[in-house]
Formats: sequence, structure tokens, C-alpha cells
Amino acid sequence: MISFYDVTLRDGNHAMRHSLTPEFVREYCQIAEQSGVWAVEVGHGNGIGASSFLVGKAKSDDNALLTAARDNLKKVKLAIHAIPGFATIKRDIIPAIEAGVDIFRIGTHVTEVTTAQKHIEYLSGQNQTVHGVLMMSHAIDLKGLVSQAKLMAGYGASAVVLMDSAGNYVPKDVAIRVNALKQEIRVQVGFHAHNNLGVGVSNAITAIESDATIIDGSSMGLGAGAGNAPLESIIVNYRRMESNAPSLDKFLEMSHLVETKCPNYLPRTTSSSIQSGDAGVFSGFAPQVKQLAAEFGVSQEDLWQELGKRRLVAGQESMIREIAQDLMNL
Amino acid sequence: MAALITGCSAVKSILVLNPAEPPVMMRTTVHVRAANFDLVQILQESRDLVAKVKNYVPGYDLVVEPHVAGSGQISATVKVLGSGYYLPEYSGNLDIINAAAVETATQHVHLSRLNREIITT
Repeated sequence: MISFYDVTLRDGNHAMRHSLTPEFVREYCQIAEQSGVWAVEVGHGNGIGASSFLVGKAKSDDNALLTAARDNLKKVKLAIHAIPGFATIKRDIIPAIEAGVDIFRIGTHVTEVTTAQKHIEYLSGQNQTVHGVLMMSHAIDLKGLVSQAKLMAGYGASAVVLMDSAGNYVPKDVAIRVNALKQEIRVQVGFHAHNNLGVGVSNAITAIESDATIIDGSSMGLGAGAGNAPLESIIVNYRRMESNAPSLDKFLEMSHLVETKCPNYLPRTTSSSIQSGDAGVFSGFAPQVKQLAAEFGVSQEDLWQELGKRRLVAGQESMIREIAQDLMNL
Repeated sequence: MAALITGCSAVKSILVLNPAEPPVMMRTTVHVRAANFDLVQILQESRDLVAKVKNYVPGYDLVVEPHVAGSGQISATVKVLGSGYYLPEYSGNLDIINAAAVETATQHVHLSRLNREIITT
């Protein structure tokens, strides 16, 4: 059985430029509670504790969002994403435990798993459910991927989630990576798609066929860059594969809520998202790339290519201006 | 502590590691939000300060000058190229600590000599 993991209220916060409110969380969670989704992830787009001028100041603080979700989720688990370097144990993780979070996902750039050791070990020592997330998982070879996943499992993570943060994968990339992890590690494997190349849903379905057991998606695909794999589309596909799949109604109700409440934030696959996905650059950079390409009079494609060449990681928003400036001065 | 040093009411520091090859040079970006500011004065003071630090950290550079980045927000980036004696050039973060220690020691010696001269005369 697949655990469907809803990132609308976290990754979607990227698309909403971090304007998520407790009112929206409340309304969304009331439907999610009835939907058959396994967990709802809530917080700033870059995870709890990330609100900043660098990656975007959040309109509502993490605790207010988590409390609104907790009050409306009983059967469904409340989850958070946290990135060491933004989130600290004392300032962010401990208050999240106190707010009643059920699942803690600790994410790092795919080559930097050692930075998550303290966070994962702390949570596992507190008997909390903790998952490791490999962000930008395309940016490493297969052998490296497996060894980084093994580190996370060794620290105490009970699942390892592959994030296609750049939306760079096509289905065969997903199959190769999920299969390798399933063979090499004993913990659960999850997959998180982005739709930059238009294959987010196909990638999620391929992950299911490759025996991943946690599948991420968001209503209407609300998420960074070209968005995630739309959860309702994953579900309708999954219903053709599995007889006891969740029914579709509540998923459609959630997507309808997103469509009506956030009409100006709905993501889609665009020429820019295809360029960023193909160049393997973090989807969340899209607003800055658009703005700075215009400001410095350089093309978005050249800027995405250059960001790809310099292998930027999530959180390096401040380098985009410097690189745009360099391109202008070429 | 950070609030004490900067005089700002709220401060957040964010660490980013990048495994890229060739390595990324150590850099720091500062974003400040303020009710009122004089960009011309900030520019002048930043250039003066960078020139002063360059005396003991030659690889210290203002790569993105202070600019208005959004409403009421000023941003600037410095890059630190290390001397490359013992550590690789990209690890300017470590090099600047050593350079600051050497500079502190130099000033300390200078001041204590000055004090001795004052006491003996």
C-alpha cells in the first residue's frame, strides 16, 4: 500500500511566495483529513525555520501554521520539512515536537548528508518518526546516491525520500534510482517529483512501479518552479493500478480549493521550467531568475545554463544576482 | 550576540554548503531591512571598510555592491579568496580567521610597545 504524502502546504508555499495563512491551512486540512492521504506537510517552502530575506519572508510563522494544521488533522499525520543550515534543533525542531508534529523530514543537498546527522539522531533519540530527504538527488552518481542514503538510514531515518528538486528526471532515471535504493537499504523509499519537463506524474507512477512506498504530490501541483506532480492526477492513475486505492472525490475537492483560493499562483510547465529542469537547477529559483534576467537584460535561458554550470544548490539565491551581473558584463 | 554586534532587532544567519567542482569561493551575502537609509553613504562606508580589511586580507572583495533589493531592503555580497599558503584558496572563511588573528596580534604588540614607551618616558 502506498503512503501518499501531501506537500501542498509546504512546497506550495514556494508557489505562493510564502503567503500561506493559518486560515487556508485550516480549510485545506479539514478536507485532507477525509481524503485518505497519509500525511500533510506544512511550513515555509524551504522548511521550518527558513523564513528570511534570502529565500523569502513568510507571512505567517511556522508555529501558527502547524497549530492550525494540528487542530484539524486527527487520522492524517502532520509532517514538516527541515533543512539543517536553516532549521536548528533548539529554535525550530523542539517547538515542532511540542506543536505535535508526527513526521520529521530532514533534508540536505544530496552530497551533504553529514550535515543532517545531529538533527536525525536527535529526533530518533526522542522516539520521533524521522525521514531523510535527499534534495537535488539528480546531482550525484548512483554509487554516491546509495552511500548518502545509507548514511541517513544509519543515523536513524526510517525512510529515505528522493527529491527531484530540479525536475530533471525522466521516468527511466526514477526507476534506476529507486530500484538501486530498494536493493541497497532496508528502510522505506519515497519519491518527490517536480513537473519541469512535464513528466511529474509519470515519474511518480514509475516510482510506485519500482516499489517506492511513499509518494509525494500536491493539489493542482502547487509547488516550486513548474510545481509538483498533481496529487489528484497521481491518485486517478493509481486507481487503475490498485483495487483498494483511495477514492478520488476529496482529492478533487482539495485541488478545487487550491484552484479557487490561489488562482494567481498555479504553477505550470513553461519554456523557462524546461530550461531549468534540463539544466538541473533548483526549481525554487524561478522568481529570482525571471526578475534578475529582466533587470540585467540577459536571457533566462543563459542564466539557467550558467546556474547549472556553477552547480548552485538550494539556498544560494544570493548568487543569482552576482551571476546575472557577470553575464551582463561578458 | 548577533543582535548585539549588528544593532538590529532580529538577525538570522544561514549556512549554505556547495560541493561544486571547481570549488565555489567563500562568500557572504548580507540582507538588511531598514525603515530609512542613505544608499550613497552605505556605498561609501562599505568601500572604505573593504579597503581597510584588504590591508590584512588581500583576497577580500565586494563582488556585489550594496543595492536596493526590494522595498526597504539593502543587499551586498563579499567574497574571500584565501592566500592559498596551507589551505586551498576557496577556503577564504578559514583564511580570514587566521588573518584577523594575525592582525589582532600585530595590533596588540604595537599597542603594548606604545604603552611601554609611555611608561618608560
